[in-house]
Amino acid sequence: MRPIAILIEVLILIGVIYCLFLAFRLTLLDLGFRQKYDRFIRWALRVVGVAISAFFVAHLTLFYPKLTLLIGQGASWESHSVSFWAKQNVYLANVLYPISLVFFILLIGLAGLFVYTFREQHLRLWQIGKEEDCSGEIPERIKTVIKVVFGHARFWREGYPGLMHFLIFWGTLLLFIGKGIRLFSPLTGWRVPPQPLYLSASFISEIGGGVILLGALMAVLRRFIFKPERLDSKPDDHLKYLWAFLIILTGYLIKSYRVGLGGPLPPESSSWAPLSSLLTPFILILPSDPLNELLLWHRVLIHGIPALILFGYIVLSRSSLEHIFLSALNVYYRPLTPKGAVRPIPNFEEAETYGVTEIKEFTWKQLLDLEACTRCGRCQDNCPAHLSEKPLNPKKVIQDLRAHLLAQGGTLIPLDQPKDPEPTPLVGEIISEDTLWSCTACLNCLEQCPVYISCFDKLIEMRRSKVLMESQYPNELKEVFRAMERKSNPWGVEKSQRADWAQTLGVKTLAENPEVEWLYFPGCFKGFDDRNKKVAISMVNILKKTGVSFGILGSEEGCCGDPARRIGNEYLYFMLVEKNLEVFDRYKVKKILTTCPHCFNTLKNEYPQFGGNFEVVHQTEFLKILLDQNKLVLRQNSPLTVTYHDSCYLGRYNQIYEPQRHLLKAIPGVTLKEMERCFDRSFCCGGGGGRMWMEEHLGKRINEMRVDQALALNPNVIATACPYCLTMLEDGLKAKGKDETIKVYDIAELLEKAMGDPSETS
Amino acid sequence: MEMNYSTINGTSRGYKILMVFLGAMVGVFITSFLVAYLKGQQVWGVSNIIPWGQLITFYIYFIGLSAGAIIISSLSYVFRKETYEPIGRLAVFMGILLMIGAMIFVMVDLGRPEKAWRLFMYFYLNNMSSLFAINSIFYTGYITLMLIYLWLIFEGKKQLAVVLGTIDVLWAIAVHMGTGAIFGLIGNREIFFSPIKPFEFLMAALTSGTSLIILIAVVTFKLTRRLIHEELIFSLSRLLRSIILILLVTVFVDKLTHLYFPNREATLYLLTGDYWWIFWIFQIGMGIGFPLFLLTWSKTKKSIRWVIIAALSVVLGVFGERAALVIPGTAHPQPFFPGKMEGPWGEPAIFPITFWESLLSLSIVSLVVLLFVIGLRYLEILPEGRAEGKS
Repeated sequence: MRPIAILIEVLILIGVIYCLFLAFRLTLLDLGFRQKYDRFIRWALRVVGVAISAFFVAHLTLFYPKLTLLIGQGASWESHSVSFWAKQNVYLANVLYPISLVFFILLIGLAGLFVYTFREQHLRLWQIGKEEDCSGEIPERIKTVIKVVFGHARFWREGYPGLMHFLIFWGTLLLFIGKGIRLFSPLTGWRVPPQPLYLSASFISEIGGGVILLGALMAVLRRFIFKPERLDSKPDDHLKYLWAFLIILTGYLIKSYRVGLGGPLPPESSSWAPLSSLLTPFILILPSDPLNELLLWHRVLIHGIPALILFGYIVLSRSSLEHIFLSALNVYYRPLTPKGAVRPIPNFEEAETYGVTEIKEFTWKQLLDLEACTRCGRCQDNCPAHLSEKPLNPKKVIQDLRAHLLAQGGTLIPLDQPKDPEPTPLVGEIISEDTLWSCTACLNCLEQCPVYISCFDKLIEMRRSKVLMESQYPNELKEVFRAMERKSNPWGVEKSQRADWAQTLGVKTLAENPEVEWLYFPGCFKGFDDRNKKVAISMVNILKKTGVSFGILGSEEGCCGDPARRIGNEYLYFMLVEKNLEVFDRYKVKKILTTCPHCFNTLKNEYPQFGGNFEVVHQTEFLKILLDQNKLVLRQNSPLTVTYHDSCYLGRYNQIYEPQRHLLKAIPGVTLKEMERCFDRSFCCGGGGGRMWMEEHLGKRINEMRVDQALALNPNVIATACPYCLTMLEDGLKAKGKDETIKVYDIAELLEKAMGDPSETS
Repeated sequence: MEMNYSTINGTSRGYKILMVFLGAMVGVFITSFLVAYLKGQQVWGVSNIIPWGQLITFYIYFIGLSAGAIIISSLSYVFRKETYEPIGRLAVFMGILLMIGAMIFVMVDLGRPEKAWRLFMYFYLNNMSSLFAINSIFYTGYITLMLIYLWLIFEGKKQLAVVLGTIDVLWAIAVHMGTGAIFGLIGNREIFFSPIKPFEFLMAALTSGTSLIILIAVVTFKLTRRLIHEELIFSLSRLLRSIILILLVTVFVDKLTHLYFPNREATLYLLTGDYWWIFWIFQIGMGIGFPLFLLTWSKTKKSIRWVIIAALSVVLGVFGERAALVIPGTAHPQPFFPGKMEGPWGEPAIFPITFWESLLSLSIVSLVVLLFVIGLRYLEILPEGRAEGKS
C-alpha cells in the first residue's frame, strides 16, 4: 500500500508541475509571444520539469521510511486526550486559516487583475467594433440567462453533452458556494467547530466536487475516447481537465488528512465529509503531531497554489475556460429582434461603406460572439454546407475570425502588434470566397448554438461588402439581379404575366376590389414557376371554398426581395421593399397571407424595419385556423405515408412547426413519419440564402442529401410548405430517379385534394 | 546593413550525438542530486571547516562569465559597434544561461533547494546589511532584465534595447561586484577580506566572459559552418589583453597589501601552502601570465589559433582564480583569538575532490550546455550561414 500511496503522491506532484508549466507556456503565447519562441520555451520547461520532478522524488523518498498508513493507528488514537473537534480546530487555526487568508487576499488581487485584463483583453477588443444597442429589455435578458445559463435550456437537445455540461456547471457552482463559505470563515471568528454552516458548506463542496468529476469523466471519455468529429482538441483542452482533476483530488486529500489526523472519525462524519472520509483510512501520516501539521501545510499548498494559478490562468490566457464569463455575457446580450430578420444597414442612404470588409466593421456584439465561441461544434454538425462537403464550416469561420480579431485587435501586452495595422480584407484573406457563398442561410448554426452565436449574420455582412463595395459575386447572379431590378422577379419574366395563373380562377386584384380582408401574396415562385403555380391555384381554391375575403396585387406585386437581401444586395432589396410598401400603402393593406415562407419572413420580420406595419400570416397557419373552425372537411381515405420537410424560414426563422403537422395529421389516411433531422434540426433543401440562383459545384448536392434522408422512410409523399423546398426536393427526386414513384406536394395541395367536391364543404 | 539570424538545422549526426550525451548528463545530474539529497552533503568534499566547495566555485565563476558576456554584448547593442553584431545575441543568450546555471549551482548547494523561496519572502525587509539578501534582489532583477533585453533584441526593438542594455550592463556590474563583496566584506577570512575584491571580481568576469565568448563563437560558428570575421576575434583579443592587464594590477595590489605585516599568514598560505598550485599555475599562470604573453607577442597575437589557446587558458585560469579564493580562503583557520584559538583545529584543512560533487558540478555544466544547444536549435541566435568574411 505504501509504495502505491507514494506513487500517487509523485504522480500528483508531476501532474501539478505539468499543468503549471503548460499553462505558463500557453499564457505566454496568448499574451502575444510569437510562435518562434515556443519550441525553445517548451524544451526549457521540459528540462526544468524533469529536474523539479526529480527533486520531488528525492524529497518524498527522504520521508518515505517515516510514513505510516493511518490504518492500524486505532490504538494510539485512544490515548489522545483532546477531542476530535479540538484537534480539528488546531489544524484549522494553524494551517487552513492562514493559507485561506493569503488565498483570499491574493484572490482579491486576482479580481483586480481580472477587471484590468477584462478591459484590456476583451472590452477594448469589442470597442474596435461598431455600435449596437443591446441594453434594453433587461428583465427579458435576465430571464434568458437564468434559462440558458443556469437551466441549460439550449444544451439539452443533445443528451450526453447536455448532461455532461450540466454536471460540470452545477458541480462547480456547488463547489464554489462551499469553498466560498470556507474562504470567509476566518473573518467570522467562529473558531470552534462544528459550526452547522461550515458542515453544510463542507458537504456541498464535496458533493460539488464529485459531480464535477462525474461530468468531467463524461467529457474526457467523449473528447478523447469517442472523439466526435466536431471536436478539435488543443493543448488547453486536456490541460483544463487534468488541472481540475488534480485540484479536486488534492482537495479531497486535504480533508482526508485533516480529519484523519484528528483521531477516529465521529460517526456522523459521512454527513459532512461523505467522500473524503472514505479516503481517510488510506492516507499516509508521519509519527508526530508537529510533523503532521507540516505535512498538512504542504498538502494545502499543493492544492491551493495550483487552484490560485488556475484562476490566474483563466484571467490572463486565452483558454477556452474564458467561456465561463464570455458565453454568459453573450447570452445576456443576445439580439432580441426576430431571429429571422437580417440587420439593416444603418443610415443606408447616407452610408459610405456597406457590410464588413475588415474586422472592425463588425458590431461589438458580433465581436463578442467570436470570443464567446467554445468550439463545441454543434453548428458544424448541423450545417448543410459543411455536411455536404463544402468549404463552409461555421465553427471554423467563427474561430478564424476570432484568431484574426485577437491577432489584429491587440492583446494585453501588445507585443508584436504595429500601432496601426494594415487593414486585412476578411474575404480572401481570412474567409475564402467559396466559404462565403456556400451558406444557405438556414440558421441552423444559430439555432444549435447554446449561446446564440450566429455565423450567418457575419457572412451576410461580408457578402454585402463583396456585392455592394466590390461588385464581386458569383457570375450567375448578374442575370438574377438584373431580372429582379427590371422585372421584379428573379427569372426576368414580364411583370404582366405574374397573375396569369389566376385568370381562370376569377380572383380579383386589389385594384378591382380594395375592400377585401386579406391580401394574398403568392410570391414570385407562384407567379412564374409552373409547378408552383399549382400550389397557388390549390390555395385559392381552398380560400374560395371556405369563403375567405381576399384579393391579389396581380402585376403590381413585386418580389419581396428576400433573395437579394440574403445574397448581400441590400440596395436592390431596399428598392424592392420601397416599391412593395408603396403599393401596400396605396391599398392600405393590413393583413397579408403568404404562401412562400421567404416572403412571409421578410414581410413579417424585415419590412417593419422600413415602416411596414401589417399582420402577416403564412398559409399553413391560416389553414390550421380554418381547420380548427371546421371550415375544412377532409375526406381522402386512400392511405398515404407522408414525411414533412420543414422549411427553414418557417421553422427556425419563425418557430412554426406545429400547424403543418396538425394539418397533415388531419387528412384521413395519412401516416406522418418524421425524418431524422426534423423540427429545429431540420436539414435545409439547399435553396435558401440565394443559393437557389447559384451553381452548386462543390461537394455533394444538398437537395439530394435531403431526399436521401426522406427516402430512408420510404414515403409516398414528401410534403412541404415552401416553393423553394418543393423545387429543390423535386429536383433531388429526379436526380435519384424516384420522381415517378414519390411525389412532392405542398400541404395546400394535399388539403385541396382531401377536400374533394366543393359542394361537400361546410 | 540589417543582419539576419537563423536557427541551426539540428539534423546532423554530431548534433544528435551531442544531444544524447547531454540528455544522459541530465540523468547523471538527477542521480548525483538524489544521492546528495538522500545521503547528505557528506558525499561532497565540503566540511565544517571548508563549507564552500566545487558548487560555490562554479557559482561565482558562472556569475562572472554571465556578467562578462552581458558587458561584451553591450558593445553591439549599447555602443552600436557593428563588428560585434554577429555575436551580440549569442552573448546575451549565454549571459542568461550562465546566470541560470549559477542559480542552479547555488540552489543545489543549499542542500534543501525547496527552501530557497524563503530568501525572497520579505524582499527588501530582509536583513539588508547582508550581502546575500542584497544579492538575491540583484540576481532576480538581473535575470528578469536579461530576459527582457534578449526579447527586445529578438523583436528588433533596437532603441529600447539600448536603454535596457545600458541598465542591464550596469546591473551586471552591480551583480558581480555584489558577489565579490560577499567575499571582500568577510573580515574574519583574511584571504577574502579586501576592499578591492569587488573590482577584482569585475575584471576577472570581463576576462573570463570575453574569453568564453571567443571560444564559444569560434566553436559554434565552425561547427555550424558559419563564417566569422577574423577582425571580430582580434578586436576581442585586444580587449581581453587590456582587461587582463588591469586584472593583473588588481591582483598584484591585493596580494601586496595582504602581505604587509602582521596579517599575512593566510596570504602566505595561499601563495605557498597546500594550494599554491591553484594560485600560481591556474590564477597567475593560465589566467594572466600565459595569455598575456600570447596576446602581446607579435608572433602569436595575430594567429587565430593562439588567440583561441589564450582564451581557453583564461577560461580555465579564471576558474582557478575562483577556486583559489573559495578553497584556500576557507581552508586556512580563522584567527578567533590569535595565538590562543585558531579556527576549529588551528590547522589548515584539506578539500577532497569527491566523485559525487564533481559529477554534480559537471552535470550542471552539461545542463547549461544542453539549454544552449537547444537554444541554437530553436531560437534565432546565430547569424545566417552566408555571413561575409573569412574564417
